[in-house]
Amino acid sequence: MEIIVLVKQVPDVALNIKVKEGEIVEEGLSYVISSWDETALEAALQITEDVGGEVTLLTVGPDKAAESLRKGLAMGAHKAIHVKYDQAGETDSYAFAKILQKALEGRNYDLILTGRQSQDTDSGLTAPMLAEFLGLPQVTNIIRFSDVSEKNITLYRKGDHGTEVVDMVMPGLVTVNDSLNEPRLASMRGIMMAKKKPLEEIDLDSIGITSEMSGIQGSMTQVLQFEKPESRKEGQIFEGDEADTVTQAVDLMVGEAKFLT
Amino acid sequence: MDKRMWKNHDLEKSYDVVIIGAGAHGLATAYYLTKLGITNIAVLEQKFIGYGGSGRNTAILRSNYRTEEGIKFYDQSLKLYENLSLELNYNLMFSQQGHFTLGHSTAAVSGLVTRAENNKALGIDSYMLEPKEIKEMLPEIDISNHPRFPVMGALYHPPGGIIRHDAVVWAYARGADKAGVHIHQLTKVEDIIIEKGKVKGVVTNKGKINCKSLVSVVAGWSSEVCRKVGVKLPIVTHPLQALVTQGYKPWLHHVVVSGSLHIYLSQTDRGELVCGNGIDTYPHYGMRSTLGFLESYAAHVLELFPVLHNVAVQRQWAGLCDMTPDYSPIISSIDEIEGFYVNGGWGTYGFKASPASGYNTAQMIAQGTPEMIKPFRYNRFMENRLGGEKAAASVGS
Repeated sequence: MEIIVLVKQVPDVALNIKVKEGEIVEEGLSYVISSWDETALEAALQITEDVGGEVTLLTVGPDKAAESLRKGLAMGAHKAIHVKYDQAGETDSYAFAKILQKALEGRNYDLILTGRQSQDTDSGLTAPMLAEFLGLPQVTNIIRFSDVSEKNITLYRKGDHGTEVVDMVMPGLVTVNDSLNEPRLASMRGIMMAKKKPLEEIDLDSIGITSEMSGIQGSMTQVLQFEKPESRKEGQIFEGDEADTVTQAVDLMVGEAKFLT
Repeated sequence: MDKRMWKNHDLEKSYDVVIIGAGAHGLATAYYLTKLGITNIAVLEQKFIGYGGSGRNTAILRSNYRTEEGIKFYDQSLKLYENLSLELNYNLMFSQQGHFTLGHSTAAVSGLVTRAENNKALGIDSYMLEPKEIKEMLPEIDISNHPRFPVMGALYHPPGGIIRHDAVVWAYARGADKAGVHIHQLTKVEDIIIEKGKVKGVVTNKGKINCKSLVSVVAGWSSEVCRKVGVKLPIVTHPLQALVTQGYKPWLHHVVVSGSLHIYLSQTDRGELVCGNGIDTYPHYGMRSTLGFLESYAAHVLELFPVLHNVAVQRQWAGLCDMTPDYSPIISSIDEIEGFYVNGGWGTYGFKASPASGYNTAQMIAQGTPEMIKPFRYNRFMENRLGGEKAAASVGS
């Protein structure tokens, strides 16, 4: 089983992300693999450990994205492909899907796995578009899989009205929900071995991506500016005896806050 | 009942002593000042208590230094630590499990022998072990000739060990608070007021405070604070990275340090391995974790303990090290500015010094510089009388 896992390097959301004049402040940011993509990698590793095969990571991003690929290799992926790309900030899902399509053309794979959305933009569009461009079946937002064979896989997707069970013929594309698994941590040996695993670097020219197909020109939408969500007001803590504090809390909810009527 | 261990206060207009930095050293200084009868003290912290080196170290304690001044100072610190849980009525989980410093070359072993002899001469429990003896105490260590750096001997220091570092900070904060010290978190010093060569006060983001004595106890940020009063410190700040693994059953019962491999590790009571490295080679104030550190640590620790190959790394972090040229701290008054004191230059060896640092800094402010810390005076750099502690830094660069 040959599995491609699409990973995106995103700013670590556990850190305080600052916005200045509509732009995200780069200084002080730390970058990690988008957590849903880590879930996809874990699923891929479980499948190949079960039925054999190899896991290949694929990312489109600047030089620093290589660090995320090496972290994925440390977790257990077998090899990685890095499409070098410096215009990520002005590129939308459509253009990314086009670049990924070109990067994957002519390659051999049974399954493409990735997160249901990325942690930074939360749009969840790239993977479905890519499936369309490649003419592959796609199943999104899976919470479980079973019965992996050479040609088929059974997928349980979280739908609007419950769990949908789908049998997909491979090759195909699947996006994962974070409840699918708990991604493993890299081991000491894994971290060491990662340095020796193949990491293929590709530039846009070599896969036929022209300047009209990338950046703002290749995108159908454009981010105009970023804004910080408004921070919530400080809460109120009622201290003292329950009999008093419950009354105080209810009075506040009925009165000033108009939360209960 | 208010269960908080320290209270919040509004800024007073004036304090006798203002301490910049609420890490273990700053809070210990405040605590020991109260023991000397000075209680009108403010400890100012730009973030939250223990945000800096006190919360970012690997919690290793030892006193097997190389120079007489280093050994005596860290011995005092270790002895204060031994009694600290009782004194502050707080379980600091001090585990005196013994401390190995491995030697991987004849030159390194010879350096360790010098340290062992210096230690013994000053009454410190510290002696050399042969590889076979090391293997008996650390059964999983590889003492074969296969690794690039074979284990040729070790300096063993039985009273060394590890402690719960956050608890040290909290306990000192509670002790100081109980004695009347005001701890002001999220209070950043923006300027220092000096008039006619005397400290008059500080300007913070929350207002101005007058004071007679001002001490900078900010470790990694020392150069920045001292620059405000025109004192140029011979300090270069480097990040140092560390990591912690998932928890495993107890197997490592001693602290292990390897200077040549630039690593140290210990196992906490929870079972996690706490692992540290040498300082990053570049000066920087950023506390970013890097993959390069993980890769180099993994390669080096597996040379010593191949058994760890499947151990999973849980998280990593970085702290700041304020390195002086002689790997010794600066605890000093400053001749040109009456009432201004510096406590910094703690490099990679600050946390273990917290009690002695606070104790002696308090003495210095209240009664004049004690003999113990005279070798750490600021003027030594102008007098060309640097210390010789570099060889005893765990994993110096």
